Amino acid sequence: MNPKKFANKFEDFRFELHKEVQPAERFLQRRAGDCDDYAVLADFILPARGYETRLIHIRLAGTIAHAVCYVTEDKVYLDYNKRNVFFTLTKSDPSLRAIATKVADSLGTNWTSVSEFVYSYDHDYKTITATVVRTDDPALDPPPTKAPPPSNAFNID
Amino acid sequence: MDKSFRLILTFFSVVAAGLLTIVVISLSNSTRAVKAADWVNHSHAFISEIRETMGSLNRAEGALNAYLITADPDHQADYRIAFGELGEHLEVAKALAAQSSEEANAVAELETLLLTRSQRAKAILTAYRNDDQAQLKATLQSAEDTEARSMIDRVTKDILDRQRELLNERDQFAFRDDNRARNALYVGSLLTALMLIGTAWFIRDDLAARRRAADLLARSNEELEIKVQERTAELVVANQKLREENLESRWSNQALEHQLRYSGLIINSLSEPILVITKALRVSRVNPAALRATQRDIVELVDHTLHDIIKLTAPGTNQTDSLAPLTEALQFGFDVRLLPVHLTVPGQPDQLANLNLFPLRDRDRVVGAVITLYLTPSSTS
Repeated sequence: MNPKKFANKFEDFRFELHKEVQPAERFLQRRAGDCDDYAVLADFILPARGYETRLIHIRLAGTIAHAVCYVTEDKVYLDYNKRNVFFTLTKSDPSLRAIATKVADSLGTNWTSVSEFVYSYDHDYKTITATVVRTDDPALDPPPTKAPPPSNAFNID
Repeated sequence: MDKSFRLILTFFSVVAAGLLTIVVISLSNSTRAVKAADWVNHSHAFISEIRETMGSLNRAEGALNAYLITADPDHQADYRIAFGELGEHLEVAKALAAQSSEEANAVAELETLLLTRSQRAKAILTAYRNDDQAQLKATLQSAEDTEARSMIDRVTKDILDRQRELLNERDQFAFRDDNRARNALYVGSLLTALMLIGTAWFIRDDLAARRRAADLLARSNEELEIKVQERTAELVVANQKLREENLESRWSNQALEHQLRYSGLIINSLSEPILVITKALRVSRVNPAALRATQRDIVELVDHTLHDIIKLTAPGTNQTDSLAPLTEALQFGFDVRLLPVHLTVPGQPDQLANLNLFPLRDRDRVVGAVITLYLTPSSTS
């Protein structure tokens, strides 16, 4: 399993927006979901095949946010809007700013901020590890590496 | 380089500079507009995150209350998810506010207040799970709880009000910028249009001048052609006339030559000596009879004085002025007829002869005379 083969398996999946991330079994069984379901599942499957993945959340101007899964080794991102991949996946530099710009351009809109986050099916909530704001100085952007998740004082069991 | 071309080049250079300026201004305005739009999007995103944060707090505390009442696991999942989202939205809001210390301080204050809500939720859940009703009741009814909510609402309202002010300022800035861009475009377009009109006028004027010059040249050529034709016609006429005159002249010359030839033949055929003399009594022409009669060649006669050839026979004649009657006749222009004279012949005795003199006139002025001699037979003296 590589990123391209992973993407090809979702060619005939339907788009269905959910407020929360669906459990993987439900997403695969129903063959319907949204960008979060797809990116989170890629982030769950591909590391087991030896890939380093990063979950990226891009907030777009005037529309809902969009999530993709970036694969560091191939310098590509998996996008539920572009899962019907015939030749190759979309390449991008690893910085959050570059990925956000590429995704926003593909959707024909502007982005306002982009975050890298981690998600676990066990805990069922996202934890942001880094955020870049479009109007910030690019020189101050965090390095394009996977950061460990900080403790979240708002996580309540 | 042609002056017209230089002027047109200058005009077009100015037009090009004007267009370039418009392009630069437009690009600059476009860049500013993009930045302004980014900031407007930024403000809306910040407002959205703050509202989402408050929405997550409300959903989380509502779900927590529902869980406390119903112990339904779905409500438990709801408040856990909602608190997680609250943390996520607050994190993004902090990132969006990081550039402004005022906004960063406000978000930090909000975070502190929200953390107290998180701690309160944890305290409630601890009391609930420990079945500590007194603690649970005290926590839920705490006056600080109401005050904390009011403070959160106030801080949130301040943040949102500030963002609305910023949006208003940015909108006014964008409006002014838009006006500036529009004015620059109008001015640039007007200048360009004026320059193009000026250039068109200049080209038209230049073309008209060239057309006038071409017409003038054509007229001059036509006039010159007419003059050439007239002159050619005159020359043809003159040439014809000259040919006729030349023919007449040739005929006249031929006639004259004939006349001279026959005159010469006539004179030469005469047996009487004939001499042509100047007014100074020098011989200038003679006929063959004169050469025979004087026994001299032409060199010995021509340009020699008449005294060398002729002497008067009248008695008592002064030898120094022996030709006085001839001199007098030349002076007053009358004929002398049958004047007896001696013709001197070298090596022989003089011969008697009768002399006739006829003055030669050029425009009524005596310039010489023709002398004929009639030799007397056996008249040697």
